[in-house]
Formats: sequence, structure tokens, C-alpha cells
Amino acid sequence: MTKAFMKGNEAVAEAVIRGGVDLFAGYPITPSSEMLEYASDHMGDIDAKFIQVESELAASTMLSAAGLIGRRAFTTTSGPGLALMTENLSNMILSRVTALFVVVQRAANNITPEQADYNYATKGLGHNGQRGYTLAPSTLQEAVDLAYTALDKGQELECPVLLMMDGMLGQMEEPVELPPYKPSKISTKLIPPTGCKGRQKVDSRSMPRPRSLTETMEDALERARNELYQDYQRWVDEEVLFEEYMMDDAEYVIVSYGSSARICRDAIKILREKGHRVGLFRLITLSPFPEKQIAAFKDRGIKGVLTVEMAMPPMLHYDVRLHLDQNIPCKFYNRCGGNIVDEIEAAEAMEKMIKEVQK
Amino acid sequence: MECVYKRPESLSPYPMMFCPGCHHAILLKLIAEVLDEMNLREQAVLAAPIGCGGMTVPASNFDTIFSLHGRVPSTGSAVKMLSPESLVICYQGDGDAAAIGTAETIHVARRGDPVTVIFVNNGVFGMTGGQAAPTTPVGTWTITSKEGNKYVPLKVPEMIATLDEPDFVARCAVNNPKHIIQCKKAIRHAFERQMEGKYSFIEVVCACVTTTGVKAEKSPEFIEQVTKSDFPLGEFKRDGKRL
Repeated sequence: MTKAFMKGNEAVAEAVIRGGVDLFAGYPITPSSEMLEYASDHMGDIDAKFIQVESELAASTMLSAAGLIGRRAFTTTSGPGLALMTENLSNMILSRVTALFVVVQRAANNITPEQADYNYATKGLGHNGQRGYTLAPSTLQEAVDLAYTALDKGQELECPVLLMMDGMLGQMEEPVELPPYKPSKISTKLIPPTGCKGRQKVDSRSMPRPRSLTETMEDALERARNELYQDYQRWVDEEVLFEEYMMDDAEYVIVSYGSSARICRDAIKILREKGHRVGLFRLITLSPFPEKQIAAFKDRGIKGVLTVEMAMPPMLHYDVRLHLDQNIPCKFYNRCGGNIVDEIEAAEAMEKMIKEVQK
Repeated sequence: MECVYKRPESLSPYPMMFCPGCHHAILLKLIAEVLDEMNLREQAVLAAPIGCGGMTVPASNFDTIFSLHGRVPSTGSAVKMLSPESLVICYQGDGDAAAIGTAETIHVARRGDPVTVIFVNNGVFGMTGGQAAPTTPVGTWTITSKEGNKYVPLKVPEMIATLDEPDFVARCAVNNPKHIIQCKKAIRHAFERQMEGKYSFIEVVCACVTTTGVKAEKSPEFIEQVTKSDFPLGEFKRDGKRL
């Protein structure tokens, strides 16, 4: 383990490099550009390739191509860049290709932090409405730990991985412990189409193809979509990650993720000092969504839920609302446009709800 | 008996999906013959486009990799970067290389990534039904330019030849035996240069016999006329020098 005091974007790039990767292809966009700069300096440390390409379209194409030949690649982007990269993302999900996309979310045309890409990243990447594996760290150490293993997870689940940072996490500096270097791995789940020496020719993965003479193209696509959906249901059981803070005796819960959740820890402390039994439920995987854990709030005797995020209209809120028992009041406290959520305002919003419930 | 002619090993034994008379089929056979002659079949990777060019995938008896519309050169570059021993053929149509993927076409050439781009220019979007392309000659009837196309076509090899990095840039055709032989020589030279780490670009002027209203038997004549007016054949760059 190496200890370092690093900027978020740089720490994540270093973690991915240490985790083993073959290619970085990217295009600058604030607030993620430091990751591109860091990769240009340090991909050479592990004899990996770095390329700064002409657009996000080309970057995501290169990631897709690397995945199609079983290799590991990553890139970084933000809102409008993610929109461009989605051209390949929707195809990558359907073709079961992996790569790591680090999304340093920003507020539309403003470059300040927001969590505005939540719906985009969790409700369907691109035109097929499919979902990738989406992670949201709330500290730099957690970002480093998740980035270090993200491509292993991607190769295991055969899907793109999105690491949802935001402008605040990307730009802040914090001490981190960096894990040791490990070698990159070539996927064993496909035959890389890089030359047919000693074997039959192979075509890379692409849109699902019929497996037999009696299966039509329509049936093949339907089968593939159903398989992806079943996989997602399995992820909900097996791959969900979350953290609970002071939840043991909690009657009221703040549900949040990323840098908003980090600020909400202080809101919990303020509320606890005032004698309210409040806890924090922090999502780590946004997709798969911890729907069973949210549904179980009812059995845990939770009386009210407040969601906190940096987005408007609320996004996480409606997902929580969907899975939460309908008799439990659920409110939201959101800031947006680049304004960060405030722990005092979050505590006030929670107190207001507690009063309403107790009436 | 002595075998004097057979299907190249690099071509799969299945019937091709191209329309009868399509020039794609001639071009793909040339690529297959060159791969056989150079003994490169086992190293070859064809980055296949969206459009009629995608039908090269079942017809090739060597590895192929999928790419989205216009992104073929980026796919090829990534494969070459991660697998330098592969021979990467970026096979593109005119919608792919000259319309939606113009940025990729130009920037892979600018960087001089060691791939071979084979750009099939048939002057229309063939697969989607013959709409006007950026390579449709002025005055040509298409389903989306019934009064005749208004815009001057994009001359991609001329444009690529202005860049420093490309090693070999040429325009060929496959409408008669002379042009077919010239085209095969160009493909061979491009592959040789790629193996020495150089970028090459070959435009092949082809006929779409299904959507342009030109009958298969008239297509060689039609291409002869097109190559005289809009797309002159020849080499624009060789060994990195402008000709």
C-alpha cells in the first residue's frame, strides 16, 4: 500500500492503472480532464497505451473495440460527453462488452458538480434501454477501491462499468491508500478476433445473432434482451452494494449517494444531537438498485424517508419512492445547478418531515 | 488434373449476401486473394462497417470485428494498438467514411495509425435504399435528390493526401480487368506498407446496381464515365510523398 494526498480525478486514474488496464482513450471535458492528463503521464508506467482522440465517439469506440478483443480499457467524461459516448454504450451492453467509464458529473452547461446523470446512467444507456453496472463512491478512498476492481467486475459480469463521480469528488484532494499494481487480464469469456492462427475464423460479438437455423433474428434479439433482464434481476440479489450509518435504531432515514451522502453524515450528527433517531442509507451501486433493502424499511419500522441529491427534477427520489412501502412518507431535499447540498438545510428538511409525521 | 483456379482460402465457402452484380463482391475477392498470396490470412482482422459493407463479415474467412456506423477507423486503430501483429483492414462505405465518420477518417489518417482503410465509394447509401451521399456526383438522380444532386461530392483521397502521415493514398475501380489488376496491386502495396507500420487509404469507385437505376451490365460503362468526370483514378501519395 502506498499513501498519497491526491486530487480525486488523479487518484481514480492511478487506481485503474494499478488495477491493470491496457488502453486509455479520451477527450478533454471539465471537470474530468485531470484524469486524461494523469493517464497521459502514467499509462506508460505499466506499458499500457494512451491516446487522446478527436471526439467522445472515437473514445468510446476504442473502448468498445478493446472490449471486443477481450482487453481492458477506460475513459473519463462528463454530462455532454457521456451523451456522445452512449452511442457505443447501448451497443456494448447488448453485445456484452466491458470497459470502464468514469463519469465526473457536472451541471449541464455549467462545470460545477451535480448528480444530474443519475437517470441517464441507471434507466437505460442509449437506445436499447439496457443497464450497465453503475457505482457511486462518496469518498476518494472508496473511489480508489471501486476503480481498482471495476474492470475485474466488468469482465466477470460482461457489461460496461460506470463509476459515477461528480465535480466535487473529482476536484477535491484527500489522502488515499493506493493498492499494489496487478497485471491486466484478457477476458476468458470470448475468443479475441485478432487473427485466426491455428483456429477457425471468429466474428467479434455484435448484436445478438441466431444460434440455430430455426431461430429468427427477432427471436435472437428477444432471447438476448430477456437474458440481460434476468441477469439484472440476479444482480439485484447478488451484486448490490450499500452502506448504513447509524441505522440500527433509526426511525427516520436519509437515502443518498455520492458526495451528497458524504455531506448527509453531518446532517445525521446534527439530528442525533437534537435527539432524533435518524440514520443514513447510502447507495454504492446505483444499478443494480438496492430495491429489496429499500422495501425492507417497512419491516424495520422506519417512519419517514428523506432523499438528498444534487439534481432537479429529483431522480433517486422516484426510485426510492417506487420501492418503498407507500404508507411511509417520502420527501426530498435537492439542490442543483452546481449548488452543493447543505447539511443544515438537510437536517431542517428532515426535522420538518419528522414534525409532520408526529402530528 | 492441375488446379488452375479456385476460391481463395480467405473467402468463406458460403454464397455472398451482396446483390448480383455488386462491386463489393469483386473487391472483397481481391482482398482475399492478396491475403492468400501474402500469407496474411491468419493475421488479418477486418473492421466491418454498418451498411452493405457489413456483409463482408460472413463472406470473409478471417477474423472480423464489429463497429458502429462511421467508427470503423477508430475500431481498427484500437485493435492495431493492442494487437500490433494483426493486419487491420478498415472496410468502409461512403456513408460510413465520408458522412458520419468523416472525423474518424481524417484523424486516424492525421495520426498515421498503421491501418489500411478501404473506402468503397458507390455514390449512394446503398443499404438504406439509395439516398444521396456526400459522394453523389452533381446532377445525379437519387431517391432523395429527384431533381438531381445539388452538392459537389467530397473527394476523400485528395483530402487525405494533403496530410503528412499517410503513406499510400490511391483511388481505384473494379469495373474492368485493367482496373481490377491495378486495384489488386494497390491493395497489396497498402498491406505491405501496413506491415511496415504505415497508414494507407484506398478509395474504390464502385457501382450500386440496385438503387441507382444503373443496370448491372451497364455499370462498368457508368463507372468509366464517373471516373472520368468526378473521381479520377490514380495514386495521390506513395511512400509518403505527394504525387
